[in-house]
Amino acid sequence: MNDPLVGVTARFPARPEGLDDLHEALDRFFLAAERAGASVRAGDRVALVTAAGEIAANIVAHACRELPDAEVLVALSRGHDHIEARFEDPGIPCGEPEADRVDPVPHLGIGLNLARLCVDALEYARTFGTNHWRLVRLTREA
Amino acid sequence: MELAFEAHGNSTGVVVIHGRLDLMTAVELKTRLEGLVDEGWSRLVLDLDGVQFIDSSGLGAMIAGLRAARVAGGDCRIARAGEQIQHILHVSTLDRVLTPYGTVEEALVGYE
Repeated sequence: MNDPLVGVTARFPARPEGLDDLHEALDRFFLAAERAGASVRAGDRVALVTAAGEIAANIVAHACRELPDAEVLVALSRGHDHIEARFEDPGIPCGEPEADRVDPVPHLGIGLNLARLCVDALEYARTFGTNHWRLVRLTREA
Repeated sequence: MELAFEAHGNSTGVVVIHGRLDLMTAVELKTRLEGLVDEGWSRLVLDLDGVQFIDSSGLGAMIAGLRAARVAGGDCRIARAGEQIQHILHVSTLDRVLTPYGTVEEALVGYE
Protein backbone atom coordinates (compact mmCIF):
# COMPACT_ATOMS: atom_id res chain seq x y z
CA MET A 1 0.00 0.00 0.00
CA ASN A 2 3.03 2.30 -0.37
CA ASP A 3 3.83 4.78 -3.13
CA PRO A 4 0.61 6.78 -3.51
CA LEU A 5 -0.28 7.68 -7.08
CA VAL A 6 -2.08 10.85 -6.04
CA GLY A 7 -2.23 12.77 -2.79
CA VAL A 8 -4.07 15.82 -1.49
CA THR A 9 -3.53 17.36 1.93
CA ALA A 10 -5.63 20.08 3.54
CA ARG A 11 -6.30 21.70 6.88
CA PHE A 12 -9.73 22.82 8.00
CA PRO A 13 -11.13 24.49 11.12
CA ALA A 14 -12.58 22.06 13.64
CA ARG A 15 -15.94 23.75 13.35
CA PRO A 16 -19.08 22.75 11.40
CA GLU A 17 -18.29 25.20 8.59
CA GLY A 18 -14.92 23.53 8.23
CA LEU A 19 -16.69 20.54 6.69
CA ASP A 20 -17.00 22.62 3.51
CA ASP A 21 -13.21 22.55 3.25
CA LEU A 22 -13.16 18.79 3.70
CA HIS A 23 -15.57 18.29 0.81
CA GLU A 24 -13.56 20.67 -1.36
CA ALA A 25 -10.45 18.64 -0.58
CA LEU A 26 -12.27 15.41 -1.46
CA ASP A 27 -13.43 16.92 -4.77
CA ARG A 28 -9.86 18.04 -5.55
CA PHE A 29 -8.53 14.61 -4.67
CA PHE A 30 -10.86 12.69 -6.96
CA LEU A 31 -10.28 15.20 -9.76
CA ALA A 32 -6.51 14.85 -9.33
CA ALA A 33 -6.85 11.07 -9.45
CA GLU A 34 -8.87 11.29 -12.65
CA ARG A 35 -6.31 13.60 -14.24
CA ALA A 36 -3.54 11.22 -13.23
CA GLY A 37 -5.30 8.38 -14.99
CA ALA A 38 -6.18 6.73 -11.68
CA SER A 39 -9.91 7.40 -11.56
CA VAL A 40 -11.84 6.05 -8.60
CA ARG A 41 -15.07 4.25 -9.40
CA ALA A 42 -18.23 5.78 -7.99
CA GLY A 43 -18.89 3.02 -5.46
CA ASP A 44 -15.49 3.44 -3.86
CA ARG A 45 -15.70 7.22 -4.04
CA VAL A 46 -19.04 7.50 -2.21
CA ALA A 47 -17.86 4.99 0.38
CA LEU A 48 -14.76 7.01 1.23
CA VAL A 49 -16.66 10.31 1.12
CA THR A 50 -19.28 8.89 3.50
CA ALA A 51 -16.70 7.51 5.91
CA ALA A 52 -14.54 10.64 5.82
CA GLY A 53 -17.59 12.82 6.41
CA GLU A 54 -18.52 10.80 9.49
CA ILE A 55 -15.03 10.93 10.97
CA ALA A 56 -14.74 14.67 10.34
CA ALA A 57 -18.15 15.29 11.88
CA ASN A 58 -17.14 13.24 14.90
CA ILE A 59 -13.95 15.28 15.31
CA VAL A 60 -15.85 18.55 15.03
CA ALA A 61 -18.82 17.58 17.19
CA HIS A 62 -17.03 15.59 19.87
CA ALA A 63 -13.23 15.58 19.96
CA CYS A 64 -12.77 19.31 19.30
CA ARG A 65 -16.05 20.63 20.61
CA GLU A 66 -14.26 22.62 23.29
CA LEU A 67 -11.46 23.75 20.95
CA PRO A 68 -12.99 26.27 18.54
CA ASP A 69 -9.60 27.36 17.21
CA ALA A 70 -8.36 23.86 16.54
CA GLU A 71 -7.47 22.67 13.05
CA VAL A 72 -7.87 19.25 11.51
CA LEU A 73 -5.37 17.82 9.06
CA VAL A 74 -6.69 15.54 6.33
CA ALA A 75 -4.46 13.65 3.94
CA LEU A 76 -6.08 11.83 1.02
CA SER A 77 -4.19 9.40 -1.17
CA ARG A 78 -4.76 6.98 -4.00
CA GLY A 79 -2.67 3.82 -4.22
CA HIS A 80 -2.69 1.11 -6.84
CA ASP A 81 -5.35 -0.90 -5.04
CA HIS A 82 -6.85 1.43 -2.46
CA ILE A 83 -7.86 4.93 -1.47
CA GLU A 84 -7.10 6.32 1.94
CA ALA A 85 -7.98 9.22 4.23
CA ARG A 86 -5.98 10.18 7.30
CA PHE A 87 -7.10 12.70 9.89
CA GLU A 88 -5.18 14.32 12.72
CA ASP A 89 -6.77 16.50 15.38
CA PRO A 90 -5.74 17.87 18.78
CA GLY A 91 -9.05 17.08 20.48
CA ILE A 92 -9.90 14.86 23.40
CA PRO A 93 -9.26 11.12 23.03
CA CYS A 94 -11.93 9.14 21.26
CA GLY A 95 -12.97 5.61 22.19
CA GLU A 96 -12.80 2.78 19.74
CA PRO A 97 -15.81 2.45 17.44
CA GLU A 98 -18.45 0.12 18.79
CA ALA A 99 -19.53 -3.21 17.35
CA ASP A 100 -20.53 -3.58 13.72
CA ARG A 101 -24.22 -3.46 14.46
CA VAL A 102 -26.02 -0.34 13.26
CA ASP A 103 -29.19 0.71 15.06
CA PRO A 104 -32.17 1.55 12.85
CA VAL A 105 -32.42 5.07 14.25
CA PRO A 106 -29.31 7.27 14.24
CA HIS A 107 -27.96 8.46 17.55
CA LEU A 108 -24.67 9.39 19.07
CA GLY A 109 -22.07 6.89 17.94
CA ILE A 110 -23.72 5.69 14.77
CA GLY A 111 -21.39 7.83 12.68
CA LEU A 112 -18.32 5.81 13.60
CA ASN A 113 -20.14 2.55 12.94
CA LEU A 114 -21.23 3.84 9.55
CA ALA A 115 -17.69 4.88 8.75
CA ARG A 116 -16.40 1.44 9.69
CA LEU A 117 -18.96 -0.23 7.43
CA CYS A 118 -17.90 1.91 4.46
CA VAL A 119 -14.21 1.08 4.46
CA ASP A 120 -11.99 -2.00 4.71
CA ALA A 121 -9.91 -0.60 7.56
CA LEU A 122 -10.64 2.04 10.18
CA GLU A 123 -7.82 2.66 12.61
CA TYR A 124 -7.57 5.04 15.52
CA ALA A 125 -4.53 5.94 17.59
CA ARG A 126 -3.67 8.58 20.15
CA THR A 127 -0.09 9.85 20.26
CA PHE A 128 1.34 12.88 22.02
CA GLY A 129 -2.04 14.56 22.46
CA THR A 130 -3.11 14.04 18.88
CA ASN A 131 -5.87 11.80 17.53
CA HIS A 132 -4.98 9.88 14.38
CA TRP A 133 -7.61 8.31 12.15
CA ARG A 134 -6.84 6.18 9.10
CA LEU A 135 -9.50 4.96 6.70
CA VAL A 136 -8.65 2.58 3.87
CA ARG A 137 -10.99 1.49 1.14
CA LEU A 138 -9.71 -1.23 -1.19
CA THR A 139 -10.69 -0.28 -4.73
CA ARG A 140 -13.02 -2.71 -6.47
CA GLU A 141 -12.94 -3.64 -10.12
CA ALA A 142 -15.72 -2.10 -12.21
CA MET B 1 -28.79 24.08 2.64
CA GLU B 2 -31.77 25.54 0.80
CA LEU B 3 -35.25 24.20 1.24
CA ALA B 4 -38.46 24.92 -0.69
CA PHE B 5 -41.94 23.56 -0.12
CA GLU B 6 -44.56 22.80 -2.75
CA ALA B 7 -48.10 21.87 -1.70
CA HIS B 8 -49.77 18.99 -3.53
CA GLY B 9 -53.25 18.80 -2.08
CA ASN B 10 -54.49 19.37 1.44
CA SER B 11 -51.94 17.46 3.44
CA THR B 12 -49.33 16.42 0.90
CA GLY B 13 -46.25 18.40 0.04
CA VAL B 14 -42.90 18.12 -1.66
CA VAL B 15 -39.83 19.46 0.12
CA VAL B 16 -37.12 20.34 -2.39
CA ILE B 17 -33.72 20.35 -0.73
CA HIS B 18 -30.40 21.63 -2.05
CA GLY B 19 -26.98 21.37 -0.44
CA ARG B 20 -25.47 19.02 2.11
CA LEU B 21 -27.36 17.46 5.00
CA ASP B 22 -24.78 17.19 7.72
CA LEU B 23 -23.78 18.41 11.14
CA MET B 24 -24.28 22.00 10.06
CA THR B 25 -27.76 21.68 8.57
CA ALA B 26 -29.40 18.70 10.29
CA VAL B 27 -31.02 20.66 13.11
CA GLU B 28 -32.56 23.12 10.66
CA LEU B 29 -33.90 20.30 8.48
CA LYS B 30 -35.37 18.48 11.48
CA THR B 31 -37.03 21.68 12.69
CA ARG B 32 -38.45 22.48 9.25
CA LEU B 33 -39.83 18.98 8.67
CA GLU B 34 -41.42 18.79 12.11
CA GLY B 35 -42.82 22.28 11.58
CA LEU B 36 -44.43 21.27 8.28
CA VAL B 37 -46.03 18.25 9.94
CA ASP B 38 -47.29 20.48 12.76
CA GLU B 39 -48.90 22.71 10.12
CA GLY B 40 -50.83 19.72 8.77
CA TRP B 41 -48.51 18.57 5.98
CA SER B 42 -48.27 15.00 7.22
CA ARG B 43 -47.57 13.36 3.86
CA LEU B 44 -44.20 14.56 2.68
CA VAL B 45 -41.90 13.76 -0.20
CA LEU B 46 -38.29 14.89 0.15
CA ASP B 47 -36.86 15.66 -3.29
CA LEU B 48 -33.13 14.99 -2.82
CA ASP B 49 -31.94 15.61 -6.38
CA GLY B 50 -30.05 18.69 -5.23
CA VAL B 51 -28.45 17.03 -2.20
CA GLN B 52 -24.82 16.04 -2.76
CA PHE B 53 -24.08 14.52 0.64
CA ILE B 54 -25.81 13.19 3.72
CA ASP B 55 -24.18 12.05 6.94
CA SER B 56 -25.65 10.38 10.00
CA SER B 57 -26.84 13.75 11.32
CA GLY B 58 -28.80 14.31 8.10
CA LEU B 59 -30.20 10.80 8.30
CA GLY B 60 -31.29 11.54 11.86
CA ALA B 61 -33.12 14.65 10.71
CA MET B 62 -34.97 12.74 8.00
CA ILE B 63 -35.88 9.99 10.46
CA ALA B 64 -37.22 12.65 12.83
CA GLY B 65 -39.38 13.96 9.98
CA LEU B 66 -40.55 10.45 9.18
CA ARG B 67 -41.41 9.82 12.82
CA ALA B 68 -43.37 13.08 13.12
CA ALA B 69 -45.25 12.37 9.90
CA ARG B 70 -46.19 8.86 10.96
CA VAL B 71 -47.33 10.00 14.38
CA ALA B 72 -49.60 12.44 12.54
CA GLY B 73 -50.97 9.60 10.40
CA GLY B 74 -48.91 10.34 7.35
CA ASP B 75 -45.55 9.37 5.92
CA CYS B 76 -42.28 10.82 4.69
CA ARG B 77 -40.78 9.49 1.47
CA ILE B 78 -37.62 10.33 -0.37
CA ALA B 79 -37.17 10.74 -4.11
CA ARG B 80 -34.30 11.17 -6.54
CA ALA B 81 -31.61 10.17 -4.05
CA GLY B 82 -28.11 10.23 -5.52
CA GLU B 83 -25.48 7.56 -5.23
CA GLN B 84 -23.99 8.70 -1.92
CA ILE B 85 -27.41 8.93 -0.32
CA GLN B 86 -28.41 5.48 -1.55
CA HIS B 87 -25.09 4.16 -0.27
CA ILE B 88 -25.53 5.50 3.25
CA LEU B 89 -29.16 4.38 3.36
CA HIS B 90 -28.09 0.88 2.38
CA VAL B 91 -25.15 0.70 4.79
CA SER B 92 -27.24 1.99 7.67
CA THR B 93 -30.16 -0.30 6.65
CA LEU B 94 -32.40 2.76 6.80
CA ASP B 95 -33.54 2.00 3.25
CA ARG B 96 -35.96 -0.36 4.98
CA VAL B 97 -37.88 2.60 6.41
CA LEU B 98 -36.92 5.36 3.98
CA THR B 99 -37.45 3.67 0.63
CA PRO B 100 -35.94 5.72 -2.20
CA TYR B 101 -38.29 6.48 -5.09
CA GLY B 102 -36.90 7.20 -8.53
CA THR B 103 -39.07 10.24 -9.15
CA VAL B 104 -41.18 12.65 -7.13
CA GLU B 105 -44.23 11.54 -9.09
CA GLU B 106 -43.68 7.91 -8.08
CA ALA B 107 -43.31 8.93 -4.44
CA LEU B 108 -46.55 10.89 -4.60
CA VAL B 109 -48.56 7.92 -5.91
CA GLY B 110 -51.04 6.81 -3.28
CA TYR B 111 -50.74 9.92 -1.15
CA GLU B 112 -53.93 11.59 -2.34
